[in-house]
Amino acid sequence: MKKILVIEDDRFLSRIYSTKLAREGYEVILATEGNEAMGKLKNCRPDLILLDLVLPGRSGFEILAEIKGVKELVEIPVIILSNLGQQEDLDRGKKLGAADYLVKVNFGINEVVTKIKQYLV
Amino acid sequence: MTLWLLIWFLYYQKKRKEEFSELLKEEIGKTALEREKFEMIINSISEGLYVLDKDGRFVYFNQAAEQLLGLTAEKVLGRMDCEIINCRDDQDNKLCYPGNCPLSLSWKESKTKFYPVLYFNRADGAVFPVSLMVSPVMGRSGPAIGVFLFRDITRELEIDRAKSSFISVASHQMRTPLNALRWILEMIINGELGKVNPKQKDFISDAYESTIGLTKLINDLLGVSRVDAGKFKLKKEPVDIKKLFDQVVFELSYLTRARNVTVENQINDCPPVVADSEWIKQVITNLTDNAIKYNRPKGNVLISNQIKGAQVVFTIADTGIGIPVDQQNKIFEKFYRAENAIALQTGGTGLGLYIVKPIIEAAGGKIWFKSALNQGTTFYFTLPLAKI
Repeated sequence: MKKILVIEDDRFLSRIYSTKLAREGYEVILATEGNEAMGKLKNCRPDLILLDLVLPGRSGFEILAEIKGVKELVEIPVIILSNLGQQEDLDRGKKLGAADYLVKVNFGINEVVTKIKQYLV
Repeated sequence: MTLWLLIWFLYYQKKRKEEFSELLKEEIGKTALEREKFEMIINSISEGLYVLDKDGRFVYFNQAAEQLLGLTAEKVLGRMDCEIINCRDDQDNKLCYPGNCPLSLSWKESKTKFYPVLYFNRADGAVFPVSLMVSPVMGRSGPAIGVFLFRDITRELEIDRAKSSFISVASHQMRTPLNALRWILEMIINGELGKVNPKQKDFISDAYESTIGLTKLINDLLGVSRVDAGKFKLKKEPVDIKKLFDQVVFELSYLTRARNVTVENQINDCPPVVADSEWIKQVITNLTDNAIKYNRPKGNVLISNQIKGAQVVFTIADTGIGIPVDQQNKIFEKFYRAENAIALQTGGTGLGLYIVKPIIEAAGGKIWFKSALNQGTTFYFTLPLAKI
């Protein structure tokens, strides 16, 4: 079963990801901020990471940079799922190595799942 | 007799000389007064003003320039431009006389040049942003002097950054709870959280559509606030426009299903155009959203493109309700919605087209439309081809 690490601090959205992705047959690991996420990454290697940007403590950009700096984690595709939608945010995400950047408000949940599946074939 | 003539001549010459001396003193006095007036006026302005000669050396430096740069005119006059001012653009390129100096460029084009944002340094090394105007003065045999007028825009840039930050934070804070609501409703409608009876599904679908409408409203309001606030700096870079159209059609698929409309995307083999992808995506979204929203059930939207010279013409055609002829001239006004659109109760804001027109025009394109009541509307817009 493929594993997805979801780094999201909004509890409603976390619950939605958890429910939806489980229904789609994925194992979901949740983290609400950077330290928790990096802790979980030490113990397991997910097949994909869903990353919010506005998080308590370190931002999603900082966490992404840290993930891409770890040899064992660099190949894991990271999809940024955020409501920060200005071009400089998209550019920064891509520059830091995000596989994709989805502005949440522009997608239905099923469309998000379709995008995720593209990176888990 | 001769002696008398001689005496008279000498006396006359002396008188002439005295009169001339008086006149000269008077003129010198007037000139000094004019110069004093000139100095008072130039030194009363809060903008820095300095003048370079044709060799790029300082020949004048007003008091405001002294204060803004932390230098005295005494230390500056006669020295070269680049010895004193480390002028850089926003890409950190040094602008130095004669090369890429603003003065060289303004002499070459024989016109005043305006630079909205450059960076100067004070004598203590501190860098600060300025807006700069350079006016060339031509002499009989070519460039004579250049007049530089600049002001410190630190405060204005801070306000701009604060506005941009507010827009970014506000958009995020409004969108997050709306996202959760929308996705939960979507899952309920799809039966993923348990069975719902048809009546429940109907009402929940209404709630879902309301969240879509609210999302569009937030997007439009934020777009309008950025347009109105002048946060509207379009990048001009090659853009894969087919990719943007594909993304928009994908993102609006929920609306296409809800309205039972078919969207045919015939954008193919389109070379890159010069645009700002974020803003142009908003244009495509607003036009396509309208084409779907104001369509009839089982209607069609056709998206296509055609290359005409150095421009690409994009077409978004629908088979919808059309725009009444007597209301077509207002369609790009803020908050304006045609009467038949209001009657359809789609929850539109009247902001979508208001944003679209300035974006396309700022990108160097044009936008226009053809429409007839109950016979559909076709919007056209152009964008310049990217030179390869």
